Amino acid sequence: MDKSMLGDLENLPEEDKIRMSAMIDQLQIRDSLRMYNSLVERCFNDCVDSFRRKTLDKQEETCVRRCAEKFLKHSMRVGMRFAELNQGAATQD
Amino acid sequence: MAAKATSSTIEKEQIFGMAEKEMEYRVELFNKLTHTCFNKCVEKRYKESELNMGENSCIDRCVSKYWQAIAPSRLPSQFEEGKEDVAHENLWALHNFDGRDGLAKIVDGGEVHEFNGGVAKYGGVGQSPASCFS
Repeated sequence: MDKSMLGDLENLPEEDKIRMSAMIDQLQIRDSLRMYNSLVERCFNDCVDSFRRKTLDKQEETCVRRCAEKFLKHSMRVGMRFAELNQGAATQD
Repeated sequence: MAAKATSSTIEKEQIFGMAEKEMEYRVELFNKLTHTCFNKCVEKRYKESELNMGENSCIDRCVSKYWQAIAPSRLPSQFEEGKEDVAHENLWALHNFDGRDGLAKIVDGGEVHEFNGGVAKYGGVGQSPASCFS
């Protein structure tokens, strides 16, 4: 989510603009932290199953890295489509 | 002498409050959408770090279907410009706010809601899904 979602912020009076902007910033920070936490939880759940050692082995490390990359790419793509649908753009099948 | 909080200030606060709730709703919606489509479209084995073509199409369609499930009338082909997006409508309310004498008119895409004190009843075109559960 970013400020471009609410494109007509420019037409608001100055004090309202500042207030809305601050609101959006707060939401953004909260959302980023939440996303980070959920990403770690997800990748841990999917990749780590045994506790014979106390450090991640090579396989687990690779798995976690791929999981994180995949999820972030996925999240970006979803964001793109979400924004398109928000604007009422026609999507191809 | 302390400044008196006018009813138009209160009404403005209400609009800000609604706009904030609206944005929180949107963020939550996006998060749920992201998690759901990831669970449905991406295999847990993580053979590689890129999304393959199948996953990409799956994601696109998943988002589209999810969007349709939210509100069947909100498919892009049926969009009326400027009317459907509820977050925009709240912003409309904010900068068409006319705080005269306690009577405020909120212009809602052409439909005027008048109220005198009390809580602004939000309705009209593109009604917020959240308001259906009040």
